[in-house]
Order: sequence, then C-alpha cells, then structure tokens
Amino acid sequence: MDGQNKGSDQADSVVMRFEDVSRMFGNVAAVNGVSFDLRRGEILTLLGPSGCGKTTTLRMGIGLERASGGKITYNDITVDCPRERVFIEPEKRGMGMVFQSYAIWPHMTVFENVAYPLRYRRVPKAEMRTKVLETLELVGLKGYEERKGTQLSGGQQQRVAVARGLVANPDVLLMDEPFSNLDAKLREQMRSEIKRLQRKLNISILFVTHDQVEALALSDRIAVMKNGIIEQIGRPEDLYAAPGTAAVRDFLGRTILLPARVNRSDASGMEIAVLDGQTLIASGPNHLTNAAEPKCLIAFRPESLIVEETADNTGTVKNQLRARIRTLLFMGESYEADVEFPGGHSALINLSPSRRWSEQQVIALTLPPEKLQLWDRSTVQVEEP
Amino acid sequence: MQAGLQSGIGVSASFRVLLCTLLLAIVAFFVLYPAVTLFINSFEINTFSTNPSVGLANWYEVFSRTRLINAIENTITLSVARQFIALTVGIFIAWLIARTNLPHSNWLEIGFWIALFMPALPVTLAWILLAAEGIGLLNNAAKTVFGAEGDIFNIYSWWGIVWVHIMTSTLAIKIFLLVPAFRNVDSALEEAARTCGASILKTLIHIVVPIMLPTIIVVTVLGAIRSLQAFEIELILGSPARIDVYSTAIYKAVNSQPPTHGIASVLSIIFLAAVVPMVAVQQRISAKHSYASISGKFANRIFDLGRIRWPLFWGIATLLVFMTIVPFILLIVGSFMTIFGVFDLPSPWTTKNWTDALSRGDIPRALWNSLKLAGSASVTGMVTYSLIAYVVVKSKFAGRAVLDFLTWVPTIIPGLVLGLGLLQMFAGLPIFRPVYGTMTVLVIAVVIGTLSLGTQIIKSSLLSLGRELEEASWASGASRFYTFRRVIFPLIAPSVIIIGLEVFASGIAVVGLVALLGTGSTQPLSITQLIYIDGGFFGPASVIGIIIMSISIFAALIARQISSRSGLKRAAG
Repeated sequence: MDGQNKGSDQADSVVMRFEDVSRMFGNVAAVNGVSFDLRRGEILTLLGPSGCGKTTTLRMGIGLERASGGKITYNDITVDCPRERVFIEPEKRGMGMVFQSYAIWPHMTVFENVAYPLRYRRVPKAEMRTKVLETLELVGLKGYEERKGTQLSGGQQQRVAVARGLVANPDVLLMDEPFSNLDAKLREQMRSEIKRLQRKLNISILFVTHDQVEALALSDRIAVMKNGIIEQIGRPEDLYAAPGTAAVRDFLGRTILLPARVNRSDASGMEIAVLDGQTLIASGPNHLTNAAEPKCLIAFRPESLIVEETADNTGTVKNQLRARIRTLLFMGESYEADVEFPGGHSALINLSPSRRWSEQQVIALTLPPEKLQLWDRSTVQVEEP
Repeated sequence: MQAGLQSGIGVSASFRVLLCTLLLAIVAFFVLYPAVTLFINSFEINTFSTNPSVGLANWYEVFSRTRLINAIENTITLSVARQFIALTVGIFIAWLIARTNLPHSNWLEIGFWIALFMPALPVTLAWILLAAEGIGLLNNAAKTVFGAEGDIFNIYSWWGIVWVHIMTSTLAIKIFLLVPAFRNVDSALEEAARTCGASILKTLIHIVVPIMLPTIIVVTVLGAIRSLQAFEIELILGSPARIDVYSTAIYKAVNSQPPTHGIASVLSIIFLAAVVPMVAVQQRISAKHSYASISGKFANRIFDLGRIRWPLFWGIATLLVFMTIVPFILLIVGSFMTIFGVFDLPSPWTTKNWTDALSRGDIPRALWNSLKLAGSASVTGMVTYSLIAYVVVKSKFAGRAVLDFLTWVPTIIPGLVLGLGLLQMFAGLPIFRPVYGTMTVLVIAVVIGTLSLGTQIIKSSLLSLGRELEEASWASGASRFYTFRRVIFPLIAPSVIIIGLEVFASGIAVVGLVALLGTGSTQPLSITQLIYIDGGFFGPASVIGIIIMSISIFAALIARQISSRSGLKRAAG
C-alpha cells in the first residue's frame, strides 16, 4: 500500500542522506567525506573504478560497514553517526539489498528465500504467502517457488535476489554490482527490467557499478567516485556532456584529448591553436585554472566530430582538422578507425559504414566550437579508461 | 626406430600396470585382511585349547554378559555427549576464527593446531593431577579458597572422560576441519540474512549452519571415529569407576588369562557393523549436497563483533591455555614431586623421578624404540602414500578407484581393532611368523593407521597441480620419471613432509594401535607410559609424558611452519 503512494505526494523528498561520511581501514580512507541525498523514487548510481569506495559507501548505507565519521540518516532517522555514538544494526534498518553474488541460500527453496525478510517482520502466514507469490510474479518467476536455489540459472537467481530485496516494501533497495555475473545479453535485459520495476513501485534504488554504460542507461543521477570522494554528481546527460572534473571526463565515455595553446580569449570563446598550427575556436566549458598559462588541452567526444572524406583546402570551413586513417576495423554497425592527427597524436573514432574508407586515407574532421572543452595539461592521467 | 619406440612404450606400460596391481594387492591385503581375520575369529571357540571348534558361543557370551552390554551402551552415550558438546562449541569457535574480527585469531588457530597434536595420555595424567578426588589441585583450591566441603571434581567419572576427550583432540579437530570450510562460504550469504532482519546469532543458526551441514556431518563422523580411537582415556579414567567401553573391553579380553580373542573379535565386528552405515550416510550426504560454491563470485568479509570481541578472545585463549600450556606445566611440576599431587609433605620436591627414569633401562630403551618406530613409519608412510596418491590421481590404472576406496577403510577401523586384527593376522599366517613380535609389525600398524589422512592430503596436493605443468615437461622432452623428480615432487614436497611429520608425531604418541602389538623388547614409550599410569606410578609417567608431549608439539610447530611457508591449504577429510 505505502509502496504505491510514497512517491507522488513526497516527490523530491530525501530517503537517505550521507553527510561527510568517511570510512577508514587502518590509516587508509576508503571513503573520504562523502555527501549526497538519495531522493524518493530515483535511481542513484555510485560509479567508479574498483577501489574507489563505492561499495564501501553502499555497505555503510545498510550497516554492513560502520562509518568512521560523518552521519547517515534514513527517513530522517540517524542510522550511523560515530560522533553521536549511534549505530543501527543492518537487521534493524529494514532496507532491501541485492548482492553481487546474489547470495541465494542454497538450502532453502525460492519461496523460503523470498519469504525470509517477512519472517523477521512478523507477517502472518497467509499474508506472507500472498506477498511472496505476488513479488515472484512481479520479477517473472511465477511457478518457481518450490525450486532450490541451486536449481536456478544465474539470471533466475538474480530475480530471486531482487524479489527478496523488494518483498518487504522497503523504501530503498541497495544493489551492489548486481549484473556483473550475467552475460551481456541478459545484463541488458535485466537493466531495463529493473528500471521498469523501479518505475512501477516508485522505490528508491542506490546502485553501485563500475560499468559506465550501465550507469548511464539506468540512472536518474550518477555520482562518479574516485579515491574515496565523489567527483561529480548529476544527471547522466549532464555528466556526459559537461564533465566537471578530469576523472569524470576520462571515466564516462570516450574523450579525445589534444595538446594546444591558447592564442587569445574573449567573450565569444577562445581562439586556440592545435600543435601543428591550425587554429580552432572553443566555446565549450573552460576548466583552465591559470589564465597566464598558454599551454592547454582541448577535449571533445569522438561522436561530436563531423567527418568528411576529403579536406577542404580553401580554409573556408572553420574548426577543421585533418587526420590520416592508420588502421580500420569493421565492427558491423560502424568502422572503428585509429586516426593520426598532425603532430603525431592519435585517437579512436567511429566512421559511418555507409561510406567507403581505406587505410592511409586523409579525412577532414570538423569540431563544433560549443563541443570543445579546455583543460589544464596536468589533467591527463589516462588517455582511455 | 618407429617400431622400437612403440615397443618401448608397450613394455614400460605393462610394467607400470604390473607395479600398480602389486601396489593394489598389498594395500588390499593389509587393509582388508585384519577385518576378515576378526570376523573368522569371532566364530572360533577355545582358540588356545587342544580342540578349537567353530560356533556362535562368543556372540552369545557378549550379548549375555551385562558388563559387555554396558560397555556398548557407555561407548554410545560417551560418544554422543562429547561429540554434541565439541560440535556446538567447535562450530561457534570456528566461525569466530574464520568469519569475525576476533583479535589474534591466527594465534588462536595455531593454538588449536598444537592442541590437535597433544597426546591423549599425558594430557589425561595432567587432568588427574588437576581434578582427581583427594589430590586434585582444583579440588584443593576450591576447599581453601571457597571453603568447599569435599571434592567438587572427580576426573575418574563419566563426565571426567567426556571432559578430557574434549580437551584433547575432540574439540581441536572440529575447529581444525571447520575453519577452512567456513572461510569458503560466500559472506554475502550471511550479509543477505542480516539485511533481511536476522541478528548475528540467528544468521549463524538459520543460514551458516544449514549451509555448512554436509561439512558438519562429515566432520562429526570423522571426529566420532577419531575420538573412539583414543581408548587410553577410558582405560585410565574409566577403570577405577568401573566404566567400560567397547575398546577397553577388547583390551581387557585380550589381556585376560587366558586371552579371550573370540570375545574381542565379536566386539570389534559389532563396532565395525555400527560404523559402516555411518560412513555410508556421510558419503551420501556429502555427495548429494555440495553447496560449497554456488556462484562464481565470492567474497570473504569479516563480521564486526563490536565490544564483545575481547571477552570472546580471552574466553577462547583461556580454554587453549588449559588445553596446551596447563597440561605441560603440570607434568613438569608432577615429574619433580615425591608423591604425585601431594604438596603438603615435608619435602614434596625431588629429582628422583628424572634420575630413575634416565638410569633405569626401560625408559631410554622405550624412547629408542619409539624413535625407531616413528622414524621408520614416517619414511615408509611418505613413500607409500605418495605412490598411492600418484597412482590414484595421475595414472590411468584400471584399479585406481578401488585403490582410492581402500585408503578410506582404515578410517572406520579404530586403532585398537586394527591392532587386534593385525595381531591375529601376524600370529595366524605362517609367512609372517618371522616378523611377528618385531618392530616391523608396529611400523605397518602405524602406516595403515595414518593411511587415509596421508593419502588424502597428498592427493589433494597433486590434484591442485594443473595437468599442463606435467605436459610442458613432457613436451620439453623429459621422461615420466624425470618429470616426477623435477616438477611434481618439488611441488608436492611440502605436503609430503607435513604428512611425514604427522606420521612421526602419531608414531611417538600412538597407544591404541600398538597397545596389543608392542610388548616386550619392542615396547614403545607410549605403551611404557600406559603401563606406568595403569599401575599408579605417576612420577615416571610424567617424565615420559613430557618427552612425548615435547616431541609432538615440536613436530606440530615444524609442520605448521612448512605449511604456512608453502601457502598450502590443508584439505583434510
């Protein structure tokens, strides 16, 4: 009952709040001052490479890990705050969780697995039965009640795990890399099913993954984490189009980085020079920290390039770079080309399969000024995530 | 060239089959024949008279004598009691060590490892000193400190036997076998229960124990059989209280005048008949429900115990001190006492026990016997178990499954029963007459006694070697023998050495297996000690106890060192 209504009248209210939360393992801060709100009815994804602290953050949310500092509240109740000496055990928090390994108890049937959370909530037998069957139907496992956990495929175990997480109508479902053990096809299917379920039940999901495609596809908001801190939090589209930090830029999608020099800057955008002397205008986000430093990087997404088969030598087309195709890989839906810019820098770009390309061919790449970002030279860590 | 090469392979292959068949025949003979002998002898009447006959008189006598019926009853009740207690406590401690942030859990694990090697007889002696009626230190302390009237503890009792069993290997083997198994459970299974609302204790009861049930059953059966082998505790503590178990009844039947081998054989057969279904059930369960790893991904996170971690640590540490250090210190104290356990004499302290022990001939001779026995058994065991394990794992010999099965058989035959079977076999078969009464018999007994464990450990070590390691060597042009010497052997050497040490330690401390075999000039130290304790000479018995305990603990520590350095995961059972 409460599952159906809680979104509509309390839209944008906060279910779970992390305030400056940290977690130390010995002298190492696995999580170092993380703050964010999980809003009612949203899917918030913690995204980052392994070891960035995303799983530890999630586990602190449900109480499988204790915070070393800061404060975690759930429905305005403090559940973990070392300063106030408050810690509520995971079994008393009433959240749902889906584990990476599914954690289906092999000695119980599907029914018993899913009914387990209700046992501890003192739900009467008959009601328990209805609720479990209802939830199993919801995840597409009707008729599987009497199977043992060991008799299920990976995808079915995943569904049982989701059913167990949802059965007690928790306000929040925590999911720790839930799809990483599934094959690619099943993973895509589960992704859309989870989104459908979440929309239907209007539940809040805190999701952890290292897979950026999964994060972009599934999330209402993404928090990109690195080295125990949140680099940036926002809508997937915003993060993708306008990354706020170098880590987000490098982690989400593919970015081409080329060394350049700033010639002059004005209100309309900067005129910059790429190393071989060609000039470009950039009016996208400017992340330069030192105005006196002319050396910089221009960054752009490969898909924002407009590719032409031959370069216009008249110089009438603005913001055009020439590049040579070094290798060409046919990927089915497109060609993947390793192209070399003048000055020796190379990048991978996708080329339309409807045209004929050949290795050693010189092509022209036009860069829309608003898609060009400027970054300090020092922000280059890894070219490709 | 081509033909020569092929015939060369042909000859060596049939030679290998011959060798394997010979190995199978020898193992089958030594493992099965004692049981067959026992069965035949159980129907033989008046063995030592002029006209032996065949009949059911022995069987009739066993079931008509209430003392023997009581012995069977006691065996069952004592076993159930100590297994139940040791299992409950063992599961809890193993879980604490494997899955929680219990402080210094690695030290506690080493402690239980040492406890596993603690020889039963010296520990029994220490508990006599602590808790016997009249002389027990704990009883005297209770009287002076709390003003207790009379004795609180009496080690010569039903509960005394249970207690000493638990304090020797019964509890330690549970923890030793369960800790690695607990480490292999995906911790998400526990965490999932907690997120569903189960407390730590309920998680342990509803999730961990059921998932571990197949392992727990295996451990229980192994533990039950192993604890039945230690008959010396029942002999020393049970006899004054007139508590007999099947093994002491066998011992007494053989040692009575005239010896009643028929009765002893009947008791042995009854015991085997009871154990075989147990083993069958255990095999079925472990084959059917192997939950071990349900998913590929696998996490092993530890539970935070919070503030109770230190009290729990001190509790377990105290238990370990009483299992290891206290018995050792008590034996040292006891060995310097004029009258064992009596402190209020004018001169309670003496070095007489030590000077006597070293100047009299029997103890040094028994020590020499023990070292010979343990050393020979250790070398023989290492070679035999490696051979068997290699044939079972790596060869295509048709009889390898039978060979594998045969290595399990000694597990179900308690030491004393096996000893009796070997005694009858060596006495009964003319070809063995020359070795009857020599050290060879004892060596064979010890090697058969450790056959199961030894072969299993080397087998699992061989199984963990990828086939490609060998194939790479063959592809490089190395022969089978050269590959074994340069590739296989160096890789399995640590486990072989550990097995050697285990056989050595058991050869030093062995009682049940050789109690009926090691008499006269071949008597080892452990049997000398048994006789001293049985006769009430606790001073010299303490001296022997210290020697046996020191050698056992030393072997345990070296084995531990080797296994931790080579990073071996011990796969026992």
